[in-house]
Amino acid sequence: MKFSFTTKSYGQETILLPLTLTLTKGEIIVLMGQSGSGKTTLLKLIAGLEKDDHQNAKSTLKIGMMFQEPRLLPWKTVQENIEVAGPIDHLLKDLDLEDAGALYPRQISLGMARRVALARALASKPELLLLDEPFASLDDERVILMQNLILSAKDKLDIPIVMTTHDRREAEALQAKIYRLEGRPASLISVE
Amino acid sequence: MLRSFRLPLLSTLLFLAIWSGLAFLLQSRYLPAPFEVAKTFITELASGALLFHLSLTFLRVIAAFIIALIFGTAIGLLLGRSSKANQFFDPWLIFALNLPALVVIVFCYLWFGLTEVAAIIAVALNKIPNTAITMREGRRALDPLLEDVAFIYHYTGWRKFTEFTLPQLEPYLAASIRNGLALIWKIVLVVELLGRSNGVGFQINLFFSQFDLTRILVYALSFMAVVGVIESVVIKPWERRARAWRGEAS
Repeated sequence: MKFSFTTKSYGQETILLPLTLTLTKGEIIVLMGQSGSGKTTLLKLIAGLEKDDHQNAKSTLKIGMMFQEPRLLPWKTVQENIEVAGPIDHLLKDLDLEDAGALYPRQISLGMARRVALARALASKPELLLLDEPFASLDDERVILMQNLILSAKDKLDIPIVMTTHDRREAEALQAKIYRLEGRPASLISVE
Repeated sequence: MLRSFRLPLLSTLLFLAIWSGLAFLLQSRYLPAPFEVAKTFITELASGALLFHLSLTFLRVIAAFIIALIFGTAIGLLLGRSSKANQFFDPWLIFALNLPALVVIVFCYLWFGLTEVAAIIAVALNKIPNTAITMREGRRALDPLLEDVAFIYHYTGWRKFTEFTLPQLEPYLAASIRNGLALIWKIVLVVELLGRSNGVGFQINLFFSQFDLTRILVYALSFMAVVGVIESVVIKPWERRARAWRGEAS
């Protein structure tokens, strides 16, 4: 899978320089960079939620996406929220959410809501998984649980995963290929 | 459960007591006692006249209500979605909102004749601007973050509307329905009074000309009861279900 974008600007300000990102099946790519460097914008370009300055958008793939905020539908239960994307299968059990299926988002913690968001992203049986800061506000135990699930999804579904984070240790734990977004406007640099 | 009914029940009994007391003291044909009203209610019910006129008014209310809700919602969603459309049509909406109900009714009767269609259109036209304004606010309040979720999981068209948009619009829809019912049935009475030969409004006008306040009260209170039943049997349970996820008491 190859994603090529021209510049991306908001109003007069250019956020990203032209870039190309090549993804291979079964590979995890981590995008790092300072806050506001354009990590989320790049994920949105890949997802087709944003267009670059030449109106290019990639959205033909079946994508599972976990946003920075859980973005659960407050009028649906945890189980229904996951089913928005596809069949629930074993996801409640895998993400330690078995007792929460009938609860509404207002009744669960932020950490739990993030796990539901990951479950929803996986339920879509995606060809590409995009994760925007997936481990924020999770305790160490839950981070390990989610990392294991992401690794197993990568192997089981044999899909590429693109993830953003501030924490290099998270990237290393996932044996990911690391890229940094540097400069203003930002360019994409591979970190060996 | 019983406790929650105690105060409203006491309040109703007190009201009836004051009414009975005043009617007894004044002994006037202009203030019939509750007992007289109840007796006349039974007579009208037994003759079939009450049910006949109530059902006609009820059908007019429902028809106008459905039309107003469909058109008002569609207009409101369009204006809430497009700021250009809103800027363009806002003066129309303000004009329609401030146009007296009576003027709309008179114009409809003059344009379309003293017909059932004219009556229903007149009532619906009076309610459409209110619904449009409420639903416009509802459309503006839609969470843009959830739009991204809908996009990612390929929700479009009707499926997106029912799964993502409608649940967010429900509080606004509920407000529109509740206010709409209260407003519409009052306008229907005026429409019937001015240009129909049946219905509660027509009957009230007839009994007004005969100074028969007892029957005016029978018809008015009966229709108020019908509206009250609709509210407690249909609207409130629906609102309760729609709000379950918020954890709000109704």
